[in-house]
Amino acid sequence: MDSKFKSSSNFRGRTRLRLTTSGLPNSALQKSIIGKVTTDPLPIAERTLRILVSERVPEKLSELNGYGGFLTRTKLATQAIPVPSVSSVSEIDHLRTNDIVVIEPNNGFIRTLYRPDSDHNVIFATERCNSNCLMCSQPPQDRDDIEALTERNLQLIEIIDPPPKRLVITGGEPTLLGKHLFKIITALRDIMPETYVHMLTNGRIFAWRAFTAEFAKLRHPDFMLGIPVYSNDAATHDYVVQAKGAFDQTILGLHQLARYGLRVEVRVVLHAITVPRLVELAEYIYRNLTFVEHIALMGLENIGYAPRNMGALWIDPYDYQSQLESAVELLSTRGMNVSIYNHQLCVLRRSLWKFARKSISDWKNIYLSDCLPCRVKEQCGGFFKWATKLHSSHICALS
Amino acid sequence: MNDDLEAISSGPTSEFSATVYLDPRIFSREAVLKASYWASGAAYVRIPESHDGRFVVEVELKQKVPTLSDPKPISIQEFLKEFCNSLMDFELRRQIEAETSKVRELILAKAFSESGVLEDEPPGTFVDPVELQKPTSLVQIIAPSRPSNQ
Amino acid sequence: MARVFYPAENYVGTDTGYQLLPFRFIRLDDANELLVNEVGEYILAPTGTVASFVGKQLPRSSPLYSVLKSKHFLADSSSSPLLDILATKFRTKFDFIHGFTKLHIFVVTLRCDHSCHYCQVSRQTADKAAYDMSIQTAEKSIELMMMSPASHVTMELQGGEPLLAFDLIQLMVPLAKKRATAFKKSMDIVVTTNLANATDDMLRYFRDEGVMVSTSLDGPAFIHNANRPRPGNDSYELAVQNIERARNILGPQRVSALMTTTQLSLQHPTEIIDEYVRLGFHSVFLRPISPYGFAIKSAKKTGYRLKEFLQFYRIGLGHILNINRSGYSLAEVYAKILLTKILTPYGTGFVDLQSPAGAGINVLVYNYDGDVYATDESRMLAEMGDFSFRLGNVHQHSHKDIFTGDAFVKLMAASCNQALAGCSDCAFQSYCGSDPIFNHATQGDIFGHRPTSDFCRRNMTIIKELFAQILKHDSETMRIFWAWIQNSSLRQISEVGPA
Repeated sequence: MDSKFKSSSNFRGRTRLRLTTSGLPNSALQKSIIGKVTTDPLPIAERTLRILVSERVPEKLSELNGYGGFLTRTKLATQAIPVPSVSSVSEIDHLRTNDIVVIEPNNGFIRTLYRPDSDHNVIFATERCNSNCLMCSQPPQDRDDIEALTERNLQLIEIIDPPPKRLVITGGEPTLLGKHLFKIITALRDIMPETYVHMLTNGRIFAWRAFTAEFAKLRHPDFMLGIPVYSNDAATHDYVVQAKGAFDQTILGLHQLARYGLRVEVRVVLHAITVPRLVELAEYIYRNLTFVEHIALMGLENIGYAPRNMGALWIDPYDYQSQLESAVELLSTRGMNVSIYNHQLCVLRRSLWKFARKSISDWKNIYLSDCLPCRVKEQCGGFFKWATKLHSSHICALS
Repeated sequence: MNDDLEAISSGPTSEFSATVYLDPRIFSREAVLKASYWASGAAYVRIPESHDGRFVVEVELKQKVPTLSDPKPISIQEFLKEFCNSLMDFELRRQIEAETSKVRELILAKAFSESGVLEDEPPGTFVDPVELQKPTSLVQIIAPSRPSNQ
Repeated sequence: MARVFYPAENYVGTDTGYQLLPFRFIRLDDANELLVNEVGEYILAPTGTVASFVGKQLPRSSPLYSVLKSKHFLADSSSSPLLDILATKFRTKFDFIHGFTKLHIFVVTLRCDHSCHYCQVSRQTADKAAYDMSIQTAEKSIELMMMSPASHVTMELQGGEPLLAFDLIQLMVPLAKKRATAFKKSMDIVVTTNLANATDDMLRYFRDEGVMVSTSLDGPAFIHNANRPRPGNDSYELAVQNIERARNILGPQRVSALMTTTQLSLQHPTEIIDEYVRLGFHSVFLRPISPYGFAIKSAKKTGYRLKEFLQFYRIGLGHILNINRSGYSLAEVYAKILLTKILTPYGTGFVDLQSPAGAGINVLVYNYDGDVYATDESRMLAEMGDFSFRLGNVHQHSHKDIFTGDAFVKLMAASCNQALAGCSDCAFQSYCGSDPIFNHATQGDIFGHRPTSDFCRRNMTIIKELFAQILKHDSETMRIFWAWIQNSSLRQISEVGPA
């Protein structure tokens, strides 16, 4: 379903954000290095853990001494750079001073881990997962990356400064970290107690009371768990997440979390499998999960597993407005806190606009070229950047 | 449940009374008594001794003439229809009770017990493919008494 | 190992049949049945559904199957019955029991300047000493209130006309507050008064002490004055003036009004409701008259038939809904209580409609003479010589004596509708309640006879009426109901969204 619309840059006119790039690592780059970017040279005393990013290589290589790392677009011949570095980097324009990046030795991979001017920073816990959702936007890898990522994340937490307003812990399934997750949350609690932490998890492990009790002992001051429930029907939920018994564990987990006073939000991704029973699910949430602080009804992301399962998943959001409106009405009249994520205002019924949020992370947020003249563009959350391939047939600028 | 209609044989014995015969293979004593209890609102109910094994219920409508507060008293035919419905409903309720009373007691016991005392173990397992191949400390957190190689 | 996707059938499991979970049902009309589970969640289904469901004839593919499963009506092998979730929901429904006796009514005097036809207290027009609570009795009663395990109690000052004993009130309020602090309880204080004797000083006292005022408003003048005679026949005019004065001094949120229904009231539901709107009230309680005390003695004046009340209620409810639709927020309190039980996961602690019954468990009455009663109605019966529900006396009995005494223990046997004939099978069990004292007064024993019980018929009719409204699926009506349940205005419900 290719679109005749082209993506436009986001309305501020900046080039689209990227989070990864790569180049050629040098021999000094032996292990993963985390550091804070600087695009201007720094005095020697301030160079520890800083990664200098520059178009060109300085005349005197000794000028690089003391930096944690060095990135350049220049192709290097046989010069021996004294610090771990990556040359011939394909893109460096997206790297700004105080961004935190990790550079990898084997493939010269440069990943941005943290951007101080973004509201959408993430602690990526693991690619492992014990579910396998049909529409997963971050498909799991069955490789044990937990030790390495935990070490990286703990370093990251140490050097983030100043502390952000909010951080999201995600994956894969963060609870697979076990004790390591507790270490990460404890670090967040101790180092940046004012930062609100939201953790995305399938919640299944919380069915085991012992785990929930341990988790509760961490006493993070501002913590919320975002847990998906896709149906009131166990078989349907299990099918969506591709795991038998997941529904039962998730519901039991939600109850244990509530028992220990931990804050939870329920998330529902809207697609052809979840939409038919959406109103029943809303009623189920109200009657069985009355304690949830928030319910997020979310538009489908066409990335990860979603494209290959699109045959079973696709429904034009315009075509489910009736169920969406009924579900939102049901929840909101009962005093439940509801939001709609990832939907465009031209597709949503007018009564639902007040529930719509600008939810898409900046680095993957675009508007289509047809959106330019739209009167409510500022208010509208726009699209995921992969929406150019697939989106509602009812997109139109409103006047 | 169509047999029930033959299991109930009822005939008005007058404009205001009737005798109902019930097959005890279809209707339990409990259903008969409960339906009779509710019938005793609008009628006088007698359950005399039976000579052929069937339940016998004699009913006589209390209100025979219209009054200001009840200008259209129920007829014996209407009453018998409702009585039959009531019998079938109470028989269903008996079946429900027979099948669910233990679970109901369990639910109430769980509701009023000390936190966690009567709680079930969660169903299924939690692990992902990596954990399955090489168990880690995760399992210990879930079940502290279980050794990690199990 | 590469991950594979499995089809939906893989998660359904083999069909090995289903087991029933506990539920009750009722025929709503010729075409429909209502199934209700242990926590009041309901399903409307065509007649015959229960028979086929119980007969294990319901196919897995039927859309009703998954609704029955997710609402805990059935369990099957494909997933866990989640009994612990159901148990938690059950506990939530009965949370109103927590804390035991929360409403404590103090009859500070029997003296009164009105002669209301329905009054549940003997008229006593003089002799302060004989008919006022002594300070010693007040002290002992307050101590007994503090023995309740509840962390929050409501102290209701009543009579006769309590303002005739204002001096006593001025001693009781600070004493109760001091004791509540010592026992680490929070406390609300309410005075139920006709306001005829309320001076500005008294009202200011109530404002300063945080005492709420509950007064009577039976309707427009011709009804109010006819119901509530007083020398000068100006009860209505006084009430209106004094409601205004009380609102000015205490603030409108601290002043509420209750109506009492008489034979005359039954003819004029819309006028009564319009009067409440005219005076700016946002809730009205269409209460039935209790068949106790003075009302029975003067049966001619208050001869009252259930059928007429039900008609009054139906017309009244319809009128109130229309008022809401026109933009004025007005809740009907009895409907709100029932709707809370029907539509929400929560129970309610309204003493006249709970199971276990409110008597003693949720309310206790301390009479002017120190006698302790299970309910206000029990006290009425005592006025007529029937002391069945006198639980003790504050000067002779401890909290333990009262709650292990014969009178209370006997009452308990009939307090749970789960165990009463007729109620134990009723689909409306979790919405309704039990009232052993009502049964005793109207039918001669605390268990009552359900088929001829006015309590039963009244509640069944009103519950069916509310279901008729709910099952219309009219979104405006539902929004009105939800505004009532949540104590907010219709506008607040309709405008729900982020701040």
